[in-house]
Amino acid sequence: MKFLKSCFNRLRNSAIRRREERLNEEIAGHIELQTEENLRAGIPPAEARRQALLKFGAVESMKEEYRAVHHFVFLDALLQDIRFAFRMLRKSPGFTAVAILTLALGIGANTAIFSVTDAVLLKPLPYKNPARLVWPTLQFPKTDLHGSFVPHPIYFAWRDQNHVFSGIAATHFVQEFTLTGTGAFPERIAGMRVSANFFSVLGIELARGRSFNSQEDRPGGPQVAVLSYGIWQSRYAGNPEILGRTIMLDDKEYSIVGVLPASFKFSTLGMQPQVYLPLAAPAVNASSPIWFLGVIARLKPGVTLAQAEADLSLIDSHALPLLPKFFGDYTQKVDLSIVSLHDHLTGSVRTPLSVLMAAVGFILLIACANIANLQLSRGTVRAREFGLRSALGATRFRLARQLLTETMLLSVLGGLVGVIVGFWGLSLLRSFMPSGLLNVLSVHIDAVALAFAIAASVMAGVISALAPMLSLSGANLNDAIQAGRIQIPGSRKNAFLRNLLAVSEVAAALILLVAAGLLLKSFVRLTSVSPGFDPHNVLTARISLPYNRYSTDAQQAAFSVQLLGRISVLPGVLAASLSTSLPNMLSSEMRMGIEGRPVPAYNDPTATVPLDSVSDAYFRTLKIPILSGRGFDDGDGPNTEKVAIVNREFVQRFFPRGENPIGRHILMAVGTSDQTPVSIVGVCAAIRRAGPGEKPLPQVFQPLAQSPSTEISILLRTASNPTALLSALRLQVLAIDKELPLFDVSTMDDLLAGETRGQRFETSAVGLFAALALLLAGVGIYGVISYLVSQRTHEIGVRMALGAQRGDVLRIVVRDGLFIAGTGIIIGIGGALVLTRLLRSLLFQITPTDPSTYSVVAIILVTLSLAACWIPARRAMRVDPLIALRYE
Amino acid sequence: MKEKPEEKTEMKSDVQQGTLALMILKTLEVLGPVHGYGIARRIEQISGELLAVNQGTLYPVLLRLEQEGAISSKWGASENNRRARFYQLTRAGRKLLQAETREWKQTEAILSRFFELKPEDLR
Repeated sequence: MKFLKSCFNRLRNSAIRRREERLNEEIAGHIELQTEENLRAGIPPAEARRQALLKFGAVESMKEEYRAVHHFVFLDALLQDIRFAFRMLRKSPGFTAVAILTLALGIGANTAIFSVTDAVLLKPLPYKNPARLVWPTLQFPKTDLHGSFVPHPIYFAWRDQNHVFSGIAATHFVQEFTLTGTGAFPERIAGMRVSANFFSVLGIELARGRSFNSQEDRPGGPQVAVLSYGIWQSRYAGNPEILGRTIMLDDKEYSIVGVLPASFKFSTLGMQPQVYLPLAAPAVNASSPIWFLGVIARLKPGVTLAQAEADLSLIDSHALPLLPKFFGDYTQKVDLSIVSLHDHLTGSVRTPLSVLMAAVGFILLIACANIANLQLSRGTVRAREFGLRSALGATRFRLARQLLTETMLLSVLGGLVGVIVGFWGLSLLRSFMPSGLLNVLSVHIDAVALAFAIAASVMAGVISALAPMLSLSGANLNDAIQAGRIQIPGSRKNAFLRNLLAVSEVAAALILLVAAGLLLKSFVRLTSVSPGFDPHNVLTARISLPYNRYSTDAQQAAFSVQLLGRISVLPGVLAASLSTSLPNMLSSEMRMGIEGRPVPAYNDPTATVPLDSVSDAYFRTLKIPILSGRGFDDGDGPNTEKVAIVNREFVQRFFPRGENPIGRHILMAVGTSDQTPVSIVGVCAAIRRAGPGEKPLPQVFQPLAQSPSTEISILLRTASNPTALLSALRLQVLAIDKELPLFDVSTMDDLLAGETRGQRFETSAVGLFAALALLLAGVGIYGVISYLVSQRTHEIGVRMALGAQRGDVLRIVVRDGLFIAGTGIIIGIGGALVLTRLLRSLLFQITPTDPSTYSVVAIILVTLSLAACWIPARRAMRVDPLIALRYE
Repeated sequence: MKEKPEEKTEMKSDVQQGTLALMILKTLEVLGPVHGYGIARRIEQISGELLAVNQGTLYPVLLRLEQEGAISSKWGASENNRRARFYQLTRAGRKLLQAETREWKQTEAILSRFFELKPEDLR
């Protein structure tokens, strides 16, 4: 900094000096010539020179004008201001460090959050003309079909009959495939079925080969695949002759027809497909299954969302009644919505991001208030200096500019450090952020974010300069210069401004603290909800048996038995079991009824119940209590009576009148030709499969031996750190079948933590900002109170001389501090009541007006203000009346 | 005697803004490269002492014209063999002079027509 400054000065000085020298020489020459001419006219030498000078005019004023032409006057004053500001800042390094650090934190936090907001909410999606891309979708609110999707017959109708889209493409959900046969180890990869025009609707050119054609996008068409750039590189080493070769997915061959460019990104539900297959949705007839699709369409130029909605509604009115009976009576009440693809992809993070943006905005405002306050205090101390300067001819404007320059310098320095803080903060944010969006949007500090940081610094500079400048305009500078050291006029307006600033700091800090408190409380409640089983020291992994080699129940059951036999005896394993799904995932569902009761209506949602097959030790492994009856055991084999264990929620739904469920029979696949009776032998406690925020669902378990599956989840309860067993587990699986990949390996604790990752992120970020705000507000109160004490030293001295005790002095000081805190708290509570409504959708089991959170926060702030008063109060109590009065 | 020059200044007309620049440009066009003193003398001679300019006021105008690129300057030797700054019209300056001259003549023509107006002309 110093080096730069001196360089700049030298450069400027030399430029000015050269120009001044040139002018001086010209003037000298000019006068010389005129004098000679006068001499030739016969004027005596002394008079000749005098006349020449007279004729030339006032040299100094001309020089001023000359410099003005050179535009150096403004720059000169500015440089002078900056130099002076530097000197002032250097003179009080403590103030400077606090101010720069404060601003750096404020600007850094803003830059980091802004760069995320910019990438997620402001930047266009990485597709061609993304503003025209929309996401039309349907909701069936009266059914138990949750969420938004488009049944594929409706997609066909839209595709064939719409007048509003230049293209309409469909995606199926992301599936997992086992990739084998390329020489390397087997691997699970994500794949997605998409309509043939998917890439062209997004406006993506393939890097190699072609997309699907309409021949391939129909049932029974050729088996083809398009690879992502990533899998082409990792699995095929970027082989340029890739086209026409085959890829083995779940033991089926697909011919590779194209490769996507490296820049292409698509993500849905946090999954990024690595291979794309043709949609090939089934033809529409009464017996065909219904596929639930996601639809992406490109609006024709000039078509609005409302027009598109009207057009699709019209098509729906004909197409919905043609849906199979499955959708039954519900077709009348269907909600159509069309949003931009951007809104669809970013909808879930909009609220958390706005909350964070607001939080960092508050931080910056508090930081500005702090700087302004510090400047104000110093401004009054510097009243004499300003008085002197104005006596020497400085205008008010000039003084105001000086103040502005000083705060600007501070905020620019703060901004520089802030950008570094921002880089650091962003990497912190990135490690916390839910991963889904980051797959599509690249988040980093770019030119836009830097421009934002600069704008924020300048704004911070102006805002923090406002109050000191305002106080300058009212102050009587003449009084200031006449006043002695003791009676510096702390004008009433100044005191008011200072209090106002401190009060607003407290208010802003309270709002942030309330937000953080609510989020924290909600997070604690969310994570303290028992999942219904003991997740500690459990290792989980999944296997998917390829159907062509494990097609019969006997093959699947044999694999399970062999695997269980191997992993149960691994050293360190307390209990081992297999299940068709992990306890934090939703299981597949089955329509069922109770024997002896009427068959439930086809579209009765309550007849559909989650169903899992589990091995004997499942309940012991997860420590799920059996409430009545028995667990599964070796006796429950393929040839014995079919049995089931149900959970308490199942009993409540199907046996609401307290009947004993043990011994009753469930009819699986009720009402169909596959209907099978199963005897209930036990009742277990419920587990929360849908996440901690959701109610437990009814559930039925069957023994794996009686109902084997190709989808297998492994659960190992271990004596100590479960991850230590990972390689042993992998070896055992490969020993049975060397083509089987083990995937989704994790500990149960990590899986559950992943469910609350978003909340963890919001809570820790807002909590961090609230702590920062608390710190800054504390510094603010401290600054004001210690300033007030230093101003009142004389008054306190008089009071003590007149007999006031230390306790009285303490009371005076603390009263001032509590006044600020109290006013700030009241205003802050008002603001928080309004603003925390923003948080409502992020909160779990707690209202935004939770009184206990507000009380705790208020108590924290009062304690903080008392602490901030403590040091100045002690100084006040130590005032020696003799010394204080001697200044008189 | 001492206050006379100042009185004289007040009586003579003030130089209109921009006029001085135009005079400088015209002077340079006629004389070629010349130093500041030369320009000052020439303007005094042509205006026939009707126009009194403090010679010093020339220099800021010269600097401005140079910054605008209408004139250029370099060191040379004056009549008394001293170093002096010689000013010269640039190509841009020549164009500027032509444009200014045209404008000035137009203004002059319009104004003189107004001055020739008699009451009966307006009827």
